[in-house]
Amino acid sequence: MLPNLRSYKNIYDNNIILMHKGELTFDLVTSLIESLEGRVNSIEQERKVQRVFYSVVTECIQNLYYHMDEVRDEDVINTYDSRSGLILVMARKRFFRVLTGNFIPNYRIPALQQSLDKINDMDYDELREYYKEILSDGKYSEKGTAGLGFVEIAKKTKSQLQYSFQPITDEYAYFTFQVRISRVIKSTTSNHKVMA
Amino acid sequence: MEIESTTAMESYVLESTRVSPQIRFIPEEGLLELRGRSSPEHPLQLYQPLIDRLDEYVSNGSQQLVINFELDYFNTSSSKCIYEILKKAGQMYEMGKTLTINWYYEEDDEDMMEQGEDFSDLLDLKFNFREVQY
Repeated sequence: MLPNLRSYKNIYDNNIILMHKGELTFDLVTSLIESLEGRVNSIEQERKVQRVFYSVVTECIQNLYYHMDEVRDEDVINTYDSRSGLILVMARKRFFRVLTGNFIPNYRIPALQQSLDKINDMDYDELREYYKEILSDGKYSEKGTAGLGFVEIAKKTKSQLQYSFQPITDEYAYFTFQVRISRVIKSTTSNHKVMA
Repeated sequence: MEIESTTAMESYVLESTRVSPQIRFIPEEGLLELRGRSSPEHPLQLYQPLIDRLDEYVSNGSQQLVINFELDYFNTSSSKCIYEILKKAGQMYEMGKTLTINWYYEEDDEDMMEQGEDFSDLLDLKFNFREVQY
């Protein structure tokens, strides 16, 4: 009984507001985002934080969804796991944490890592310029996405994108992606009034 | 009996869904409105028909267009489509026609306002920024 009790306590102490591991359809993605929005809006009163949360969570989960079909080797990883995505969202006093996990083919790692590192090296103004550059390049991925997701997440959270690649086989690794959304409103540079 | 040499373009109206905004393109009134949220699975599939109609409207020699962007949220893949819509509309301006772009954003939503500024800057188009109460 003790391990169960401990994990139950962990879930409540860490304020896990969503945990999902399994297949993702677009409808399910939409439902998860709607459900998260409802929960967060009930525990977080600040509109600014609500908006950033919604935007970041949408990009994270949709991004995960678009990259779910890249693992095909069913002999190496079992079918269920290879197609399954992991989403974990936690609410702490001063921030929300969003974590996603999925298998990726090893050949995709260098480009992805390079792209994440490049984004992490940029300050806000550089990210804004980079966003505009990609926006106007007229290119779409083969899935019809813009290639702007990580840039947007970095821009909105104003914090580092944390990630890791854990080797699984010669062909696949497990990609974990994590961001924090601050619940503490920093004073703004513009003249807008700060909400109470 | 010949009434007009060119047939008037039909309106193109889509109601909003969980992941797409209400789209109202009324060529007769020279009006295009997007209202709500945009995070569809395939943004190009949603917006391409609108971009095509806008293209027809622009090439028809239409004299004026008012665009009202009243989006609460759009995801990054939608943003490329919005860029395309604005780029197409921008051709009217280049042709010396009247183009009005109203960019609505929720009070204090600096991110949404900045998005508008970035589009305006990239395409060299004037935007009217309109703050609305939540």
